[in-house]
Amino acid sequence: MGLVGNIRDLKLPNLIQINCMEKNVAKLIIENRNRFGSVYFANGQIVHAEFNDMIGEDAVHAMLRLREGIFKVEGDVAAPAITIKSNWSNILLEGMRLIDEDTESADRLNENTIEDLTAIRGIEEAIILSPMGEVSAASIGFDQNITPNLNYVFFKIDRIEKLLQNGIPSGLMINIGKKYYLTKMGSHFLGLQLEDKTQIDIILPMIKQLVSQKSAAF
Amino acid sequence: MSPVKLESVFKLGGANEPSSVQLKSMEWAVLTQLDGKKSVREVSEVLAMDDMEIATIVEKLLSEGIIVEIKQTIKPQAFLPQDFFDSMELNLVHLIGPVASIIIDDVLFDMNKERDQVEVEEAGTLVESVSAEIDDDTKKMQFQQSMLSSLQKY
Amino acid sequence: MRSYLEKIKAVHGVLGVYVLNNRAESLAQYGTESIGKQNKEKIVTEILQILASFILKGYSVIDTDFMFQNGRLLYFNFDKLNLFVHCQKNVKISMLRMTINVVMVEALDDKKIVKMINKNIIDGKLLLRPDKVDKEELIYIERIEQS
Repeated sequence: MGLVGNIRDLKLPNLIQINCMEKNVAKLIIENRNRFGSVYFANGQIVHAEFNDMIGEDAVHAMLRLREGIFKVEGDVAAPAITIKSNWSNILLEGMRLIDEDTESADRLNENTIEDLTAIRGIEEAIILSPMGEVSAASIGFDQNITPNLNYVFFKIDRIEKLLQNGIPSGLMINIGKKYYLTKMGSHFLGLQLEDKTQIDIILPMIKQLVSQKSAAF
Repeated sequence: MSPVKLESVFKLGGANEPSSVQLKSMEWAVLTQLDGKKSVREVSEVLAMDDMEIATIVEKLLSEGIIVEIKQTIKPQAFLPQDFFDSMELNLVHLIGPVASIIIDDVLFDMNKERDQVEVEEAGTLVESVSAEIDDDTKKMQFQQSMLSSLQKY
Repeated sequence: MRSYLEKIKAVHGVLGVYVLNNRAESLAQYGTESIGKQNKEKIVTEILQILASFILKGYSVIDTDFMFQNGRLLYFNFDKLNLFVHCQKNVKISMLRMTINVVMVEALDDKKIVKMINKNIIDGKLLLRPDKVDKEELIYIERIEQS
């Protein structure tokens, strides 16, 4: 039986490197959320790849973005076609470069959003949390010790939404000595620390407008 | 066609049935919200759409003859009279002294309003904002108490 | 207590006013069952759990304002007394907050109210005990405790 595992533990670039350096003839199959991909090796190179409706180098680049997935390596399986001619290390480098570029662009979006929000009068600090509850971006003065509490609040809001017949929650203001306004922004979560004397109703239209503009990108 | 106003209210009832036109999912979503009560702005808030996006869709629905506008009678804006400000200032002076008028002016500045531009609907917000400037909790409470009966007139 | 809640309910846009202890048990209410009898205890429990999570970190929640598509649910903490106010979306919020401030100062001077509060002193973190939450929620609470 061939090698089996999860790319969360044994990263795809490592699997590619091993199969190429050992000059294996092999097929690497990856499954991620019911999507299947395969990478074929021969003569020390990647010769073919498929993922979703992509083939060739694009398919390899798409699979390099996956953070987890079950993999299986089957030995002595020939490729059905030769669609890749580039050197395997160049393919990996290009894949990593594309990922970095996207990460940079997401970081820029996050920073710009934080800047736009803290420019609104009445907002002192801001934080953006990913769907997994990690900090995507935060202004310098935001007390990140409170992040686990904010994640819990967002978790609870989903539950309250199901119980109340008042429709979708649009936001929550909580005053713990400091005032925070919490809302969803696309698939992410937004936390705003307000100035002490700010009345949320006055600045809410501006916050909603900005969140509405940014939501598609998040 | 003149541009759609966000304060306008529409409902189903044009010359054509919705089924006679091919609509995209967002256009259907907007159509289901146009109930003859909610304004275009309110619908945009419900669906989290921006002004341009919803105005474009409503224009299309109107041009396709699926919806009609409900004519609204526009109420004249009512502004707070001077004696409201006089009464507020008097209450505040008794509590915190002559800086009262400066505090009121500061709050108006933050609200981006002059005294003759504060709508009746904003009276509560104004009083609450002024009371927030009073550091002493007891005096803050006394001010709010004294202003509540004035506010109830509006 | 009812007479005080009546004054809060009189503010335009208020649907119901509820006073509960930290076990989400009703102590007083005024107005229609606007939140819904069946779900009221569950909703209030969810909110009290949020508030308790801040107590875990040493914070004390003064007030909250849940804004929904069609309404608002406000919470105010008055000396271990949990006041919930369910409102329409167009409620005059400043009027409401000032009315609540003024009414509750009066209420907390009332011996009967003080007696009710003293009878209901319950640990604010009670609703976060492991037997009160499910496994998924316990993970969030543990993260708060560890941070």
